[in-house]
Amino acid sequence: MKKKRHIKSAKSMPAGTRIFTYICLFWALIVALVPLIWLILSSLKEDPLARPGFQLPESIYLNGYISTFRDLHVLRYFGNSMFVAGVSVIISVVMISMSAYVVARMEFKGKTLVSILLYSTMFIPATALTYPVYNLINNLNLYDTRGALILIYSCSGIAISFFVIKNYYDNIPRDLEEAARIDGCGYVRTWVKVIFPIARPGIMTAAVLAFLNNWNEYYWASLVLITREKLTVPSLLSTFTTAFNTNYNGLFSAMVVIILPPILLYCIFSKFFIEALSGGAVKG
Amino acid sequence: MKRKVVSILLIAAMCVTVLAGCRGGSDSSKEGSSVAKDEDNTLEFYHGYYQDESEWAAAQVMRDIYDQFAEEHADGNVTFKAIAVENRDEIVSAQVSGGSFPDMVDFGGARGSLTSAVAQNLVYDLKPYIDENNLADAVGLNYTQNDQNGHIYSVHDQIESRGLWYNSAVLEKAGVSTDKIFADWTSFGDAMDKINTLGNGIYGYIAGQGSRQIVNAIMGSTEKGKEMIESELTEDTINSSEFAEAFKTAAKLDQANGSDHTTDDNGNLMADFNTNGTVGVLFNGVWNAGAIAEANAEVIEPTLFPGNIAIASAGDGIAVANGMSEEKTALALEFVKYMTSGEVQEKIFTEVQAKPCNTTLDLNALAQKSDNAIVSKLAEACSQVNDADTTVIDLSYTWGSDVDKAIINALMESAVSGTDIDARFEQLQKELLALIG
Amino acid sequence: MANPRVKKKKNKLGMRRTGFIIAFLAPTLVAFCVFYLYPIITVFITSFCKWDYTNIANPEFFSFEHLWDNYDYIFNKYPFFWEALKNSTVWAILGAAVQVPVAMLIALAFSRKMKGIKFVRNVYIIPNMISTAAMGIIFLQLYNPSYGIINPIIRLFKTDFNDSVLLLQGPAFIAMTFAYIFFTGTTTLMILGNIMAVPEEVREAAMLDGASGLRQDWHITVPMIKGTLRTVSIMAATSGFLLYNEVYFLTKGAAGTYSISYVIRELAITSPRTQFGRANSVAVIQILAGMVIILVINLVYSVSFKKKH
Repeated sequence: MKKKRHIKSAKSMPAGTRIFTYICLFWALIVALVPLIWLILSSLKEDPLARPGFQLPESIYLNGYISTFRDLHVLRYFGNSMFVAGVSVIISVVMISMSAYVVARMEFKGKTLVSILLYSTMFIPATALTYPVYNLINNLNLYDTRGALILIYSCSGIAISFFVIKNYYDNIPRDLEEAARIDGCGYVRTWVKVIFPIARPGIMTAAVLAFLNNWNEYYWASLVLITREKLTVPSLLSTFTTAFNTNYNGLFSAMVVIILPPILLYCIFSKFFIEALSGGAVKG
Repeated sequence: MKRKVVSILLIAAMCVTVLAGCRGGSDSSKEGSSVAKDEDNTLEFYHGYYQDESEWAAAQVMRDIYDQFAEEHADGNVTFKAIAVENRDEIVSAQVSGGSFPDMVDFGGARGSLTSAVAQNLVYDLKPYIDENNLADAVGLNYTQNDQNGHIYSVHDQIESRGLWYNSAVLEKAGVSTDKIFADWTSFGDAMDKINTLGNGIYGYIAGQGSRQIVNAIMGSTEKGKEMIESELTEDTINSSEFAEAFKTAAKLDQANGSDHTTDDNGNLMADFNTNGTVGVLFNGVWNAGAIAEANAEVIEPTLFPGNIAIASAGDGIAVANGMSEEKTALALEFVKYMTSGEVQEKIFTEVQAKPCNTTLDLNALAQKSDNAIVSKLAEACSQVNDADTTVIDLSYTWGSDVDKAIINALMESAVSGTDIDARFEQLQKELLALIG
Repeated sequence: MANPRVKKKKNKLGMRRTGFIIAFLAPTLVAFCVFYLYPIITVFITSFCKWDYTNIANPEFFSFEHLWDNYDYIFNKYPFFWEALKNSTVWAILGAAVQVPVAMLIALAFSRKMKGIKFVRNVYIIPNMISTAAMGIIFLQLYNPSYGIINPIIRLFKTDFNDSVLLLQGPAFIAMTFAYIFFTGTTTLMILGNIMAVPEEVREAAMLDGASGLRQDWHITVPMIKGTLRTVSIMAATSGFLLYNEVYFLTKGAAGTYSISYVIRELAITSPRTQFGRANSVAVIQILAGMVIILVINLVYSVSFKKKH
């Protein structure tokens, strides 16, 4: 199954393509690094606004980082966010990969309606959701629990996951399932044993997107959680803004710190969904 | 083989998830029911002082004040529970939409959903209690500004007071005397022009959010204008010559000052004034005393707006729910009294470094007692506001924050060189008419 | 005549199939009903209701004569609606027409074998890990006229430029667009995933035909990832249409930069009059416009797909 893929190396490419590729890579690097380097530089300045732009800091000032780790219990925030975002990603992705499969592969009445309903959820403004969701959470006696946030995150963002996963199913050739069906697999078995494993990279992509959204989500978190010990990562940023001013050194330091776990996770998991694909598991 | 492992793992993950979800659910429902039991004898109080002590010491001072009250009343039947919430306005708004109101909430000066809650009869009228206990002086400005047809629905323990701050070193360098520049807006403008020619990154004032105060102060300088900003925004006000005059004066000043010194949030440029010392004037509240860098403490001074005008607003503060049990209501009222008492108000002044609402306090004496440079600067600013010939409310409280923002946006756009201020004002008039429609 | 036994078997199979469909759809539909059904119905109904601070707990139906009052206000009186609709539409178009091609070119570059490509690939997604709120704060600083990095660059070409780009009609819109449009990390990731899945044989066959490099990409790879391109176009257009944080942090709507989401929030939350009814009529327009976006993109892709064959 695992055939080494021989993508053409740089040398065998036409010159134009090579140059173009280098331009693209250079552009990608610039786009990614400009905000990142600016952010890191600013986080090291005592007063980022007094010595702005890309100037190097006069002296390295680590107070923002020190207070983030020492006073602000950053690990507690990480733990909360990791738990809430992780659990809700698993729930929503499993849920969506089931329904997306049905919509992608089967004909049934009301299929269009299901798609339209799911799509429409993207466009409902948060202001219209606030009161019903708040009410729901209270009625379920979930107010101020992590369960409330897990419920909200599992249900919100289903449209994006649906798009991503259904798109991936569409790329999987149908003969695979037919073969499985001829072997006597039922619908559920076909999905669990054949489709789900093949669609894994697509599902992982959806999981990454959902995780990033949940990781940075502030609105719902601050609405349904009030105990400080339960709050998630974005609340770390809000503590640097008081009624009267903002501690930018602290704020930028915290911004750097809170993207570290996603970066780490991404580096660990990226091989599962980019490299996994290069085996050519999906054939068209 | 591999697939099998993967699918087993996935199924295991699903099971764990479901279990975790269930456990989370049952845990919380237990918690929920215990809360429900306590509900009748717990007075929950939402406030917005959630910041960590290391970031904002004043937030901890406020929390300590609340905790002290809880301790003092620990023996009673009702337990007082202060809860810091980050998204207070949305939480209260969601509750109000459902026809309920928190037991007690501190809006912290912000215009939250108090108006909608009052319209639904959800908020307790504090006025009888204030009158019975002779608290009129203790609640100060709240007593007049928050009086709605004889009812007072909220009491803010701090008064948002604004004058302006200036850097005497910058003014001196530009060769303008401090007596003259704050006499009227024309001399103010001349002085700013002189400062703007100094170069070296030095400029007149921080416009945008700040220059909306200019409009406010000019409106307050005439009897008619003052009346207008003390009541709701009407079509007549929008079309009045007072409003046109106020806006255009501010816009012209802003345009001369340059759009590069214009921001919708003072915080973005405040360091230029407080730390770098490159700005002549900052329109900010008395609380700016706490933000001044030590190096500049000597040269930065507070004063009032030209025409000896101060802006002071109570805003929405502590509000109590209607229809709670007698015991709970009594404790809530006790809390209002406690927050406006001399002892707490003194702490708000010296430790939170805000202007207290209680008018019986001798701020200068307190400042001397505390021996803190920031506090004495604050005291100076506060007494100036107290002694102002004219004190007006911040128009964002009477006209609404959407109107406030429309004016700020119009001012900011006018700051761009070459903008036709008259045309922009006409457009603003149309916008405002639509907003109140 | 059909054999009854076969028919019975078919029925049984059909029932199993229906059962499977219901079982697999159920969790999502339950989530939808729990979370979205009530809001979506309220949005539609209350857009025909008087619902503001005076009657926050019980919206009141307008009567049929005044059915369209909220819409009338939004269309004819509210000063920022048309500007917001135009901006949001432009952002949606830019999402599909600029963001997706950029993302695709970068994904194609990432799909080649080169030294250091893994590093660039991993770095490129980092800006997408920073929340849009944080990005807004970062760009606010970059655009700051006195100490940002944009004004010095402009001054290279126009030496006397002293204004704030965020306050100029036109440039403010462009500045805001630049604050998000090039961060295509997640879009690139999805496209790349699909490019990698294009079977080797197809590429090899193309090489035999003499197509290589960019030509191969254009003629072979791009048509094969059409489905994914359509999906990411819809996603990019949607997020462009719903732009909110950039507006909130950079301009608060000054200099003609309102967006539909911003208008909704302003009506519902910022306004002291708490105009939920009017906000919801904008929300209805937002939902309908979203449907139109999806429809248009599907149409564009199916038309251009037909042409190729």
